[in-house]
Order: sequence, then structure tokens, then C-alpha cells
Amino acid sequence: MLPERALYLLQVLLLPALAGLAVGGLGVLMVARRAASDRARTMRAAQVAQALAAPVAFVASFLLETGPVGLPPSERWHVLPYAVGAAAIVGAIVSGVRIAWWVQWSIVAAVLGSLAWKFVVFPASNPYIQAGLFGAIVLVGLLWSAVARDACSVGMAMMSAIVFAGLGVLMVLANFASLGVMSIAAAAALAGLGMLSGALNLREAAQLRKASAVPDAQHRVDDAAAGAACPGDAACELLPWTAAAASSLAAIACVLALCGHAYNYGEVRPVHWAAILLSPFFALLVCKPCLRGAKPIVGVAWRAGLCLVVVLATIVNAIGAGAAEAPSDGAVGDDPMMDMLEESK
Amino acid sequence: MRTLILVPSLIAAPVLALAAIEPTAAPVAVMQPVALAAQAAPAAQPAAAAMTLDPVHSMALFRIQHLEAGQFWGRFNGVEGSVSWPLDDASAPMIKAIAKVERVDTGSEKLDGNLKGPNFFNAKEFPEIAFTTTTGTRVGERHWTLTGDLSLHGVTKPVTVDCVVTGVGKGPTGKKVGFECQLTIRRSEFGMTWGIEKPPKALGDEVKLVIGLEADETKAE
Repeated sequence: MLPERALYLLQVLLLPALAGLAVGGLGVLMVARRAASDRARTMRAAQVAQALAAPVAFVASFLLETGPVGLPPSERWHVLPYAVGAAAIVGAIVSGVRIAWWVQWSIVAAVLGSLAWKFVVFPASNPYIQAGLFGAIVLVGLLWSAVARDACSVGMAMMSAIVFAGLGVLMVLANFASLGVMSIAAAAALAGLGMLSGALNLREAAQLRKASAVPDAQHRVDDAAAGAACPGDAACELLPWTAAAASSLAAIACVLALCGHAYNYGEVRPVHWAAILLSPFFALLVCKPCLRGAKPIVGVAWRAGLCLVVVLATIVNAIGAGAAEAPSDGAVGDDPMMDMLEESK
Repeated sequence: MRTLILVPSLIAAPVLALAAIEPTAAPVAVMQPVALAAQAAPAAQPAAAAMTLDPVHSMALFRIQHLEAGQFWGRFNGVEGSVSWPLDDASAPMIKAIAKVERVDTGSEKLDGNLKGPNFFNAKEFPEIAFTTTTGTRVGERHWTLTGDLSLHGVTKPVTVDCVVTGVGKGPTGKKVGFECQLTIRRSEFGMTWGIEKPPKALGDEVKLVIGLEADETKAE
């Protein structure tokens, strides 16, 4: 039986994650394989691919876990593949357009917020909840855009992976296991993307150092410097996240959190969903003033570490809240009167 | 003489015309007066009593195989609804029973939450499970095979239920009648597929339902 279940996990978790990583990783590899001077041309196409990684993993996991769903869907949460697909398309298209970051965020927030308002309706939704979803997509999208601009691509991928994994755990605690698996598949794709970006960034940095050490290779140094921003000398930033990709990822996270909340039969409270969604911004707030001039790898470790701390603390709190509300099983220690009697013997 | 023939003919004409309009009811009335008398006989017997299900003493138990091993039992408490049945067993009990998914009880709060969630009953979208009898066939004394519509997880399908009248008693407010009904369904037919193939064989597809009902005779207002 175990191999069969392992095969199932492989099917709904690993395969979708690999699919997402393949799409997103394609973008990073596209840029990495180019000479530094040619990268600008490839960059936009690569950023489109990067924006699609997590949505591809989520939708693939949904289709493998639940199967294809009709339109209109028979259950309200079956709107998710359509919603995530729309977010991916909008995020990818806007990522490919050369416009200011705040314009990218505005377009994505307006389009996805409006689509969510109109079409993403879960049980017990009302105008206030729909307005809240719109507001969350706008606000969390703005905050994640700020995070994407501050952190390097590895940091952004790692933090969003932690957020999606955290949402997945909350979904399991909310008794929505299959949505949890889908969210964790997206997290795995993002984590893989972060690791791939990190490895290629380090390789790039090593090449850059090597080129700097050779006197007659000055032109290669110039090429590398022209093609990508290289914060510090420990790593190169091959493929930074666009505000559109970050906003679309934030919109997906907001919709997943609302879906988990709408079907919640567990210990999870609205504040838990909110804390996890905002954890990258918390990491940014703490790291921004402290890590000026620090090596990128230190920045990634601090940001991801702080994000992880917030997510873990939230999960522990959610589990603790459930345990505190669990009814007594009648064992000794539950009744203070019985304890007093025991002590008096 | 001619008048004697005409008057009955004039009376008979509209009767026959009416018989032509209602081919099922009228011919019986005209052609088979003896059969009519036999059908009318139940009128002398007590008519089908209208009864209301007592939710405190009515529940639906379900049984499903877990991990291809044990048969796991759970129940829906507080089943509500109504029954129409002549206490002398002259016709089939017409049962309308409604179970609220929120009242699922497995003895584990965690498991109850799982069952209410969208992977199983999806209580937020489909809060009720309902059975309504359409017809019944007598198979023995106080023993009926009922057919009816079962609505579960947003899907309504016809099902066959084996139903036994367990007893007719007297409560403080009037007559009480007990029923025990059993049926087996495939949950996949109702769109509840989680755990059958994905994750593989976590839970069975076949679900046995044992429904214990107690109905109170409804007092005429």
C-alpha cells in the first residue's frame, strides 16, 4: 500500500512542482545561458516564464487531484483553477511589458481584484467579504511588489514558497487537505525556482570573480555588469521578479487564503491567514534598515528566516488555539475538583 | 316509452363523455363497480397517519471501510422530517427524512471537521442530505422495499431502501412508530470521490446506511 500512496504524493505534489519549476526554471536558464550583453532582450520573456511557475504547479496539482472541472463549476471552490489561471495570464502578460513597477502593480491589482470580486465567490460570501478580497489583492499585491523590489529573486522565491507552504498547512488544519496539497505543490515549485536561481546566481558570481581576476578579460566584466544588476560580489541577480509577477502571486495567495477560510472546519482564524500573507512584508520591514550593504546571501537567509519564523509561529498558534478549545476527554487533570480530591488523599 | 328511453340516454351521455375525458378514473367507476367497492374499503380502515420525525430519537448511521481494513461507523444525529403511513400496514410508509451535515458525529471532532469539509460532504455548500420516498413494495409484514430520491452532495439519485417497521407504541403525546431502514450506496455516484483513488484506497466507495427513525403521530390542529 505504501508505494501506491507514495506514488499518489508523487503524482499530486512532485509532478506539479516539477512542471512549475520547469516553466519557471526555463526563464532563469534562458537568461543564464545568454551572454550578459544579450540578456536585456531575453529578460522579459524569461520573466513571463518566471511568473507562471507557481500557478502552473497549482493548476497541475488541482487537475491531478480533483480532475477537470466544468464551467460553471459544480462546487464553488472548483473556480480555483480558473482564478489561478487568470491570475497567471494577467501576471505573465504584464510582466512582459516594459513599464514602471507601480503601473504593473496597478494593472494587475485592478484586473485581478475586479475578476475576483465578480467571479471568486465562496460559501458565506457577502459584499463585505468580496470588498475585503478586492482590498487584500490590492494591498498584499502592493506589499509583495515592494518585497520583490527589495529582495533578490532567490529571496522572493523563498519567501513566497514559505507563504504558500504555510497556507497549505493552515488548509490542512482547516480540514481542507486537498487544497493544502495543491498549495504545497506551488510552494515546492517556488522553492525549486529559488534554489535554481540561487545556484545560477552563485555560478554567475564565480564567473564574474574569475573574469575580474584575469587582466585581459575586462570586456567580459563589462558585459556581465551590463546584463544584470549584481548586488555585492557574492551573487548576481540573473532574473529579478517583476511587480506584476509578485502582485499576481499575492492575488493567488489571497484567493487561496479566502477559500481556506470559507471552508474552514478547523482551528484557523482569519488573523492566521492574514499573518502568513503579510509575513514577507514583516521580513522586509525588519531587514530593510538592518541589512544595508550586506551580502545578498545574508539578506536571503535573514528574510527567509524571519518569514519562516512568522509562518511557524502562526501555525503553532493555530494548533494551540485548537488544542485550547478541544473538549475534555475526562482524564485526570481535566477537572480541578478531582485533582484537589486526589491531592487530599 | 320514447321518454323512458330518452331520459336515461340524456343522463348517460355526459357520464360517458366524462369517462372519455378521464380514461383511468372514470372507466373504473362506470365499468367496475365491484372493484371500486374493494378500493374504497381502506376508507373504512384508518387513513395514512401523518407523523413527524422525532429528531432526538432519529439518526442515520453510516459505515465505510477505512484503509481497506476496519469498517468505520459514524452517524448523523437529529434526523428530521415526516412520515405518512396507515398504522395497519395497508400502504407503504412515505418517508421524508432530512439529515443536517453539521450534525455528523464520529466521536472525533477532528474527523467530524474533515467530513464536513469540501473533501467529503462539503457542508457549507450542501448542508442537507435528504431522502424522499416515491413508491413502496410490501415484502412482508411491516416490511417494505421503498424507492425514493436521495439528495447528497448536490446530486439527486433514485435509491432502493429496505425498511422495517420496528414497532408501534404509545408515547406521552400519542402514538409513536419506529422504522429501521437500510441501504447501500456508492459515494462516487454522488460526486464524493476523495479517498477512493486519490489518495488510493484511503476509504471505500461503498457506504452502508442504517437509518433509525421514530415518528410521532401529528395531532390535528
